[in-house]
Amino acid sequence: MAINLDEGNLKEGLLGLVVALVEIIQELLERQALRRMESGSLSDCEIERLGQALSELTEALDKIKSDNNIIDAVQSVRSDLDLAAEDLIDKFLNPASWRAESQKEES
Amino acid sequence: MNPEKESCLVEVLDRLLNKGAVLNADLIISVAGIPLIGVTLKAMIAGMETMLEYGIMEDWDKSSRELYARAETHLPLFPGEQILYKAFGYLREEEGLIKCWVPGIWNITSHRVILWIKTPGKVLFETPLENLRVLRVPASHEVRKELELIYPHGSARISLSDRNEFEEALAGAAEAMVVVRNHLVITSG
Repeated sequence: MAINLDEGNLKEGLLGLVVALVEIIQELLERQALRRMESGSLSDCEIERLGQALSELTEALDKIKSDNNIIDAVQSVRSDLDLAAEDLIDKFLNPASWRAESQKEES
Repeated sequence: MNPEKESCLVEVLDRLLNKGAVLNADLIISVAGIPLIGVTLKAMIAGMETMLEYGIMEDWDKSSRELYARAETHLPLFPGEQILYKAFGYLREEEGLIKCWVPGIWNITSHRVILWIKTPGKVLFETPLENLRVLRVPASHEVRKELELIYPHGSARISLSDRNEFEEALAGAAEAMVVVRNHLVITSG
Protein backbone atom coordinates (compact mmCIF):
# COMPACT_ATOMS: atom_id res chain seq x y z
CA MET A 1 0.00 0.00 0.00
CA ALA A 2 1.51 3.30 -1.06
CA ILE A 3 0.16 6.79 -0.86
CA ASN A 4 1.96 9.02 -3.27
CA LEU A 5 2.44 12.59 -2.19
CA ASP A 6 3.65 15.10 -4.72
CA GLU A 7 7.17 15.76 -3.49
CA GLY A 8 7.47 18.87 -5.63
CA ASN A 9 4.87 20.52 -3.48
CA LEU A 10 5.01 19.01 -0.05
CA LYS A 11 2.73 21.55 1.62
CA GLU A 12 -0.13 20.84 -0.75
CA GLY A 13 0.53 17.13 -0.60
CA LEU A 14 0.53 16.98 3.19
CA LEU A 15 -2.47 19.23 3.55
CA GLY A 16 -4.21 17.11 0.93
CA LEU A 17 -3.56 13.98 2.99
CA VAL A 18 -4.91 15.57 6.16
CA VAL A 19 -7.98 16.97 4.44
CA ALA A 20 -8.62 13.62 2.76
CA LEU A 21 -8.62 11.89 6.16
CA VAL A 22 -10.91 14.52 7.65
CA GLU A 23 -13.20 14.15 4.66
CA ILE A 24 -13.43 10.40 5.20
CA ILE A 25 -14.31 10.91 8.86
CA GLN A 26 -16.86 13.52 7.89
CA GLU A 27 -18.54 11.17 5.40
CA LEU A 28 -18.62 8.45 8.06
CA LEU A 29 -20.18 10.87 10.53
CA GLU A 30 -22.78 11.82 7.94
CA ARG A 31 -23.76 8.20 7.38
CA GLN A 32 -23.95 7.47 11.10
CA ALA A 33 -25.94 10.66 11.63
CA LEU A 34 -28.41 9.50 9.00
CA ARG A 35 -28.72 6.19 10.82
CA ARG A 36 -29.42 7.92 14.13
CA MET A 37 -31.97 10.20 12.53
CA GLU A 38 -33.77 7.27 10.93
CA SER A 39 -33.85 5.33 14.19
CA GLY A 40 -36.19 8.01 15.58
CA SER A 41 -34.47 8.45 18.93
CA LEU A 42 -33.46 12.05 18.24
CA SER A 43 -35.75 14.99 18.83
CA ASP A 44 -36.59 17.39 15.97
CA CYS A 45 -34.43 20.05 17.57
CA GLU A 46 -31.46 17.69 17.76
CA ILE A 47 -31.89 16.60 14.13
CA GLU A 48 -31.98 20.24 13.07
CA ARG A 49 -28.83 21.04 15.04
CA LEU A 50 -26.99 17.97 13.77
CA GLY A 51 -27.84 18.70 10.14
CA GLN A 52 -26.76 22.29 10.53
CA ALA A 53 -23.42 21.35 12.10
CA LEU A 54 -22.63 18.71 9.48
CA SER A 55 -23.43 21.00 6.57
CA GLU A 56 -21.24 23.70 8.13
CA LEU A 57 -18.41 21.16 8.31
CA THR A 58 -18.87 20.27 4.63
CA GLU A 59 -18.80 23.93 3.68
CA ALA A 60 -15.68 24.56 5.74
CA LEU A 61 -13.89 21.62 4.12
CA ASP A 62 -14.86 22.77 0.62
CA LYS A 63 -13.58 26.23 1.44
CA ILE A 64 -10.26 24.88 2.73
CA LYS A 65 -9.89 22.80 -0.42
CA SER A 66 -10.56 25.60 -2.85
CA ASP A 67 -8.57 28.19 -0.85
CA ASN A 68 -5.45 26.03 -0.80
CA ASN A 69 -5.85 24.67 -4.29
CA ILE A 70 -5.75 21.04 -3.13
CA ILE A 71 -8.90 19.63 -4.74
CA ASP A 72 -6.82 17.40 -7.04
CA ALA A 73 -4.39 16.39 -4.29
CA VAL A 74 -7.27 15.32 -2.02
CA GLN A 75 -8.88 13.43 -4.88
CA SER A 76 -5.69 11.53 -5.60
CA VAL A 77 -5.10 10.59 -1.94
CA ARG A 78 -8.66 9.38 -1.68
CA SER A 79 -8.44 7.23 -4.78
CA ASP A 80 -5.15 5.77 -3.48
CA LEU A 81 -6.83 4.92 -0.17
CA ASP A 82 -9.81 3.44 -1.99
CA LEU A 83 -7.53 1.23 -4.04
CA ALA A 84 -5.77 0.09 -0.85
CA ALA A 85 -9.13 -0.72 0.75
CA GLU A 86 -10.25 -2.61 -2.35
CA ASP A 87 -7.01 -4.56 -2.29
CA LEU A 88 -7.53 -5.46 1.35
CA ILE A 89 -11.08 -6.67 0.77
CA ASP A 90 -9.95 -8.67 -2.19
CA LYS A 91 -7.39 -10.43 -0.02
CA PHE A 92 -10.03 -11.20 2.60
CA LEU A 93 -12.48 -12.54 0.06
CA ASN A 94 -10.03 -14.53 -2.01
CA PRO A 95 -7.24 -15.87 0.19
CA ALA A 96 -6.27 -18.16 -2.68
CA SER A 97 -5.29 -15.27 -4.93
CA TRP A 98 -3.29 -13.82 -2.06
CA ARG A 99 -1.32 -17.04 -1.70
CA ALA A 100 -0.73 -17.19 -5.42
CA GLU A 101 0.54 -13.63 -5.36
CA SER A 102 2.99 -14.20 -2.52
CA GLN A 103 4.26 -17.39 -4.16
CA LYS A 104 4.80 -15.45 -7.35
CA GLU A 105 6.81 -12.85 -5.46
CA GLU A 106 8.96 -15.48 -3.79
CA SER A 107 9.83 -17.30 -6.98
CA MET B 1 -18.56 15.14 -2.08
CA ASN B 2 -19.18 13.22 -5.25
CA PRO B 3 -22.46 11.34 -5.01
CA GLU B 4 -21.90 9.48 -8.28
CA LYS B 5 -18.51 8.17 -7.14
CA GLU B 6 -18.89 6.07 -4.02
CA SER B 7 -15.74 5.79 -1.95
CA CYS B 8 -14.78 2.20 -1.31
CA LEU B 9 -12.91 2.99 1.90
CA VAL B 10 -15.81 4.94 3.38
CA GLU B 11 -18.13 2.08 2.47
CA VAL B 12 -15.89 -0.43 4.26
CA LEU B 13 -15.53 1.71 7.38
CA ASP B 14 -19.26 2.41 7.44
CA ARG B 15 -20.04 -1.29 7.36
CA LEU B 16 -17.52 -1.86 10.12
CA LEU B 17 -19.21 0.80 12.26
CA ASN B 18 -22.67 -0.55 11.55
CA LYS B 19 -21.57 -4.04 12.55
CA GLY B 20 -19.27 -3.03 15.38
CA ALA B 21 -15.91 -4.49 16.31
CA VAL B 22 -14.57 -5.74 19.64
CA LEU B 23 -10.98 -6.30 20.62
CA ASN B 24 -9.95 -8.15 23.77
CA ALA B 25 -6.33 -8.76 24.54
CA ASP B 26 -4.42 -9.92 27.61
CA LEU B 27 -0.74 -9.37 27.84
CA ILE B 28 1.94 -10.21 30.39
CA ILE B 29 5.39 -8.74 30.23
CA SER B 30 7.91 -10.91 31.97
CA VAL B 31 11.63 -10.84 32.50
CA ALA B 32 13.61 -14.06 32.97
CA GLY B 33 10.39 -16.02 33.13
CA ILE B 34 8.94 -13.87 35.94
CA PRO B 35 5.76 -12.01 34.96
CA LEU B 36 6.19 -8.35 35.98
CA ILE B 37 3.49 -6.29 34.24
CA GLY B 38 0.00 -7.32 33.24
CA VAL B 39 -2.10 -5.54 30.64
CA THR B 40 -5.74 -6.15 29.80
CA LEU B 41 -6.95 -4.30 26.73
CA LYS B 42 -10.60 -3.93 25.87
CA ALA B 43 -11.55 -1.89 22.84
CA MET B 44 -14.84 -1.55 21.03
CA ILE B 45 -15.78 0.56 18.05
CA ALA B 46 -19.24 0.88 16.54
CA GLY B 47 -21.72 3.46 15.37
CA MET B 48 -23.64 4.88 18.30
CA GLU B 49 -26.83 3.31 16.96
CA THR B 50 -25.22 -0.13 17.07
CA MET B 51 -23.83 0.54 20.55
CA LEU B 52 -27.33 1.42 21.75
CA GLU B 53 -28.78 -1.70 20.14
CA TYR B 54 -26.45 -3.74 22.33
CA GLY B 55 -27.27 -1.60 25.35
CA ILE B 56 -23.80 -0.11 25.63
CA MET B 57 -23.23 3.53 26.59
CA GLU B 58 -26.98 4.14 26.88
CA ASP B 59 -26.67 6.30 30.00
CA TRP B 60 -23.82 8.27 28.56
CA ASP B 61 -25.73 8.96 25.35
CA LYS B 62 -28.70 10.15 27.35
CA SER B 63 -26.77 12.33 29.78
CA SER B 64 -24.63 14.02 27.15
CA ARG B 65 -27.69 14.89 25.08
CA GLU B 66 -29.46 16.20 28.15
CA LEU B 67 -26.45 18.30 29.08
CA TYR B 68 -26.51 20.02 25.72
CA ALA B 69 -30.27 20.47 25.78
CA ARG B 70 -30.08 22.08 29.23
CA ALA B 71 -27.20 24.43 28.38
CA GLU B 72 -28.41 27.89 27.59
CA THR B 73 -27.74 28.89 24.02
CA HIS B 74 -28.38 32.58 24.48
CA LEU B 75 -27.16 35.07 26.98
CA PRO B 76 -29.83 35.36 29.69
CA LEU B 77 -30.88 39.01 29.92
CA PHE B 78 -33.12 40.90 32.31
CA PRO B 79 -36.38 42.17 30.84
CA GLY B 80 -35.60 45.42 29.03
CA GLU B 81 -31.87 44.79 29.01
CA GLN B 82 -30.09 45.35 25.71
CA ILE B 83 -26.70 44.27 24.40
CA LEU B 84 -24.76 47.38 23.41
CA TYR B 85 -21.36 45.93 22.57
CA LYS B 86 -19.87 42.51 21.88
CA ALA B 87 -16.26 41.47 21.38
CA PHE B 88 -14.04 38.45 21.79
CA GLY B 89 -11.61 38.78 24.67
CA TYR B 90 -10.07 37.26 27.77
CA LEU B 91 -10.50 37.43 31.53
CA ARG B 92 -8.12 36.90 34.43
CA GLU B 93 -8.58 37.54 38.12
CA GLU B 94 -5.66 38.48 40.34
CA GLU B 95 -7.57 37.41 43.44
CA GLY B 96 -10.18 34.85 42.58
CA LEU B 97 -10.76 31.53 40.91
CA ILE B 98 -9.71 32.42 37.38
CA LYS B 99 -5.95 32.60 37.60
CA CYS B 100 -5.14 32.17 33.91
CA TRP B 101 -6.50 33.93 30.83
CA VAL B 102 -9.89 32.50 29.92
CA PRO B 103 -11.38 33.31 26.49
CA GLY B 104 -15.00 34.32 25.96
CA ILE B 105 -17.24 36.97 24.52
CA TRP B 106 -17.41 40.25 26.38
CA ASN B 107 -20.86 41.81 26.35
CA ILE B 108 -21.73 45.28 27.53
CA THR B 109 -25.45 45.52 28.13
CA SER B 110 -27.51 48.40 29.36
CA HIS B 111 -27.12 47.00 32.90
CA ARG B 112 -24.05 44.79 33.16
CA VAL B 113 -20.66 43.74 31.84
CA ILE B 114 -20.72 40.00 31.12
CA LEU B 115 -18.23 37.41 29.92
CA TRP B 116 -20.19 34.77 28.05
CA ILE B 117 -18.84 31.38 27.04
CA LYS B 118 -20.67 29.81 24.13
CA THR B 119 -20.01 26.09 24.68
CA PRO B 120 -21.20 25.13 27.21
CA GLY B 121 -23.31 28.29 27.37
CA LYS B 122 -22.61 29.97 30.67
CA VAL B 123 -21.88 33.31 32.23
CA LEU B 124 -18.37 33.26 33.64
CA PHE B 125 -18.25 36.77 34.94
CA GLU B 126 -20.74 39.53 35.43
CA THR B 127 -20.84 42.79 37.26
CA PRO B 128 -23.39 45.59 37.23
CA LEU B 129 -22.38 48.85 35.57
CA GLU B 130 -22.99 50.81 38.77
CA ASN B 131 -19.81 51.91 40.54
CA LEU B 132 -17.69 50.17 37.91
CA ARG B 133 -14.36 51.79 37.11
CA VAL B 134 -11.95 50.93 34.34
CA LEU B 135 -8.21 51.33 34.60
CA ARG B 136 -5.63 51.03 31.85
CA VAL B 137 -2.83 48.67 32.76
CA PRO B 138 0.52 49.89 31.45
CA ALA B 139 1.60 47.46 28.74
CA SER B 140 5.30 47.61 29.48
CA HIS B 141 5.88 44.08 30.75
CA GLU B 142 2.94 42.30 29.13
CA VAL B 143 2.31 41.71 25.47
CA ARG B 144 -1.44 41.80 25.96
CA LYS B 145 -3.14 45.13 26.20
CA GLU B 146 -5.08 44.91 29.40
CA LEU B 147 -7.80 46.78 31.15
CA GLU B 148 -8.58 46.43 34.81
CA LEU B 149 -12.21 46.41 35.87
CA ILE B 150 -12.64 47.64 39.42
CA TYR B 151 -15.97 47.02 41.05
CA PRO B 152 -16.98 47.42 44.70
CA HIS B 153 -16.03 43.87 45.77
CA GLY B 154 -12.88 43.25 43.77
CA SER B 155 -11.22 43.59 40.43
CA ALA B 156 -10.56 41.63 37.27
CA ARG B 157 -8.22 42.01 34.34
CA ILE B 158 -9.56 41.80 30.85
CA SER B 159 -7.89 41.77 27.49
CA LEU B 160 -9.39 42.65 24.10
CA SER B 161 -8.01 43.33 20.68
CA ASP B 162 -9.46 46.83 20.72
CA ARG B 163 -9.64 48.22 24.22
CA ASN B 164 -10.50 51.75 23.07
CA GLU B 165 -13.75 50.49 21.58
CA PHE B 166 -14.57 48.65 24.79
CA GLU B 167 -13.93 51.73 26.91
CA GLU B 168 -16.05 53.89 24.63
CA ALA B 169 -18.91 51.39 24.70
CA LEU B 170 -18.67 51.15 28.48
CA ALA B 171 -18.65 54.93 28.90
CA GLY B 172 -21.64 55.17 26.57
CA ALA B 173 -23.55 52.53 28.52
CA ALA B 174 -22.76 54.14 31.88
CA GLU B 175 -23.83 57.55 30.60
CA ALA B 176 -27.09 56.15 29.25
CA MET B 177 -27.77 54.56 32.62
CA VAL B 178 -27.13 57.80 34.51
CA VAL B 179 -29.53 59.60 32.19
CA VAL B 180 -32.19 56.95 32.78
CA ARG B 181 -31.70 57.13 36.54
CA ASN B 182 -31.87 60.91 36.64
CA HIS B 183 -34.95 60.71 34.53
CA LEU B 184 -36.50 58.30 37.03
CA VAL B 185 -35.57 60.53 39.92
CA ILE B 186 -37.13 63.52 38.27
CA THR B 187 -40.32 61.73 37.35
CA SER B 188 -40.70 60.13 40.75
CA GLY B 189 -39.97 63.47 42.47
